Amino acid sequence: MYERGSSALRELAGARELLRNLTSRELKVRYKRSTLGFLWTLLNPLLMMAVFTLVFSTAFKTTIEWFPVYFLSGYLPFAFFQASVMIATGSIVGNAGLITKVYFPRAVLPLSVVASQLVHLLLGIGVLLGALVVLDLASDSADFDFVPYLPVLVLAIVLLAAFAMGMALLFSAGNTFLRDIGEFLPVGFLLWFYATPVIYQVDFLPEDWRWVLLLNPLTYYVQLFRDALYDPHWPAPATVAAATVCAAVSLVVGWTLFVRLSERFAKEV
Amino acid sequence: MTSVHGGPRPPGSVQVRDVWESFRVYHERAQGLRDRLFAGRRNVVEEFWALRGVSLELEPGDTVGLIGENGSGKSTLLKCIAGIYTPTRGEVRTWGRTASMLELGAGFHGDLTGRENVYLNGSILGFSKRQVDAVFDEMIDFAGPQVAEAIDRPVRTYSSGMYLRLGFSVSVHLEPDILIIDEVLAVGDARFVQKCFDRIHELKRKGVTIAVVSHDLETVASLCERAVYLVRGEVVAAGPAVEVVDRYREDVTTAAPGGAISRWEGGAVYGTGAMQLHDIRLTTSTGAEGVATGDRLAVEFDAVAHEDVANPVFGMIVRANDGTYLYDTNTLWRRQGTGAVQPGGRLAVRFEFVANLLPGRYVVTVAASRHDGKQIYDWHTDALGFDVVGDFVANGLADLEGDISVEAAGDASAPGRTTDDTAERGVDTRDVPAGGS
Repeated sequence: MYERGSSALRELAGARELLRNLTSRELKVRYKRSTLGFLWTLLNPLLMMAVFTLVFSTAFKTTIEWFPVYFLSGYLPFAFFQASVMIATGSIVGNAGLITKVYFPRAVLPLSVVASQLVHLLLGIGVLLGALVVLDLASDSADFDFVPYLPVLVLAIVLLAAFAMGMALLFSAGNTFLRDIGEFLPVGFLLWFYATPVIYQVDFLPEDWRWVLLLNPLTYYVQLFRDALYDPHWPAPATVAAATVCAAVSLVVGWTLFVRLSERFAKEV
Repeated sequence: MTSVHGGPRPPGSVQVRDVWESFRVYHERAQGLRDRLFAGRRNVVEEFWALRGVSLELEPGDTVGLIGENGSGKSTLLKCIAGIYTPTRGEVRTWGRTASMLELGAGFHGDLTGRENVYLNGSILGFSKRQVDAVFDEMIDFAGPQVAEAIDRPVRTYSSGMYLRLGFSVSVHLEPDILIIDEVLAVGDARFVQKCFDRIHELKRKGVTIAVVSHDLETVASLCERAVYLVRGEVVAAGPAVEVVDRYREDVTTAAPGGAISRWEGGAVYGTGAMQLHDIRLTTSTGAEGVATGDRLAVEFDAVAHEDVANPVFGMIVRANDGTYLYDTNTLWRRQGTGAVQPGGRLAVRFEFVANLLPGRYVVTVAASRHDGKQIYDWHTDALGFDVVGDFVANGLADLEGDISVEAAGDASAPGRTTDDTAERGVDTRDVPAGGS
């Protein structure tokens, strides 16, 4: 049972089981009525990869080596972040029936979305790792020796998840009071996608525009995933520092605002 | 809101101290960017105080009923105790575990099975898997064989009765220290309702603190030791349930002197203004001293045209004070022509009806609209209110003029039994295929 108000964080810690149940609800319900079910988690990024690879190897003649690997190692974290934030944004408003009828720590709603997306991300990465092993063995020119750099991968996942949680809290609370946020997100994320080096490399942008990438937190997370998977090596300290700072700021701001605004959720939804 | 678990008071205690709760009422709910940016201060936002300085102390095992008319703040108070609302001012503290039963099956997901939903619902209410495990069988047993059989099927395949039974069963088998119930007892068939009451009485005996909101005064009087009577967000009476319920019943059935018929503060007024209603009034056949069941009443008003209007429609709606829709009529449905009116023209409109209503408060909405009813000229929500007074002989809204006769029943004599037997045989015969004999 929740110890109301004792401290919002302690309360959230007491709701671990609810968080777990809501997460599994998200996962179970999502594919309940599709034939391929959970396979979609893997099919979606693979199909995206196929489309982008086709477009970039024929129309744009990309010079990026191993483009499918380059794409997936950036797209998986980006897609995780996008789905987390977009679904979480509607999580308070979408659960109005619960919020006006039962008390529970409200943060479990957006956080369970992030958690369920994390499961999808881990599965996707698992498959990618498998593919890298195969590529490494099958091709002489491939060198995906990611094993020594697995700590980088773990760090990248932890930091990105923290960043996504903060944003999910922020957007879900904000959307309760300003519904335009939910409407704007699809376009916002399209823009964000192109402002992140998922389908191109940093030096593809004219120098005048590189500052956009430096201001975009996702650049650092994508970079960390690439450092771990595409071109395994130890990341630059600056990248790690930037990713850590962004995650911490996101968590603190998101959590603080969420706790403050959540008192009024029941009246606003 | 603060709460101290295992603090200075035993689990099951509730302290409500000088709680004020305000709601902002937007005329046009401003939730979009444009409204916020451009409407700014011009946006009509009214502050409405649902609770005004309410205090209440509950000790473990107390049972309290919150009563009052709709809008009195009783449900708001309940939601404050449940933690759903945070008081605008003042403080609510609870000790121990609180479970709210404001809607049965809140949080059920149609695509999940009954079993999955039970665990999910349990954890939403704050119980661990182990706690749910311990009462799972009992819970399903309580919900009945139909539910037990369907427990591994998605709940979207459940009938609404099964859904409610499962929802109720979950709520009452996880034993909290404080149980909060809002109008959820009027569900399902009579037998199940009885089972629910038995279960709640059992929780009461076990020392669970119970706070309940119900329109059914008998429920409050029989279940609760104490009652709190709220009027417009303030406590006007608190004490032994039977006394407070009597006081409330008196207030509802006795008109305040001169206040039997009033020009209500009323609700929303809107319309194009092509025609406007003035001097809306209610008269009784007996004079204005209050309305008794069966009195003939008249709602009258003047309608002034500001544009050319042809065949305007005039309508009247009577509602109970809690919003229940009782009677709605208009000149369109009655195929009653009203003629053409020129700007400045005035019509006197009079609706007559019989108040076949039980004691209580009722409100009247009047309106004028275009000839086809599709454009509102002037609409006055709850323009009038009146109290029907009389002896309390029946509960409800409509006076169905019931009579009860009670006589000593005769012996179970042979003719009676013969009739019964014939009836049963009749049923049996129908079950036999036609060609069978």
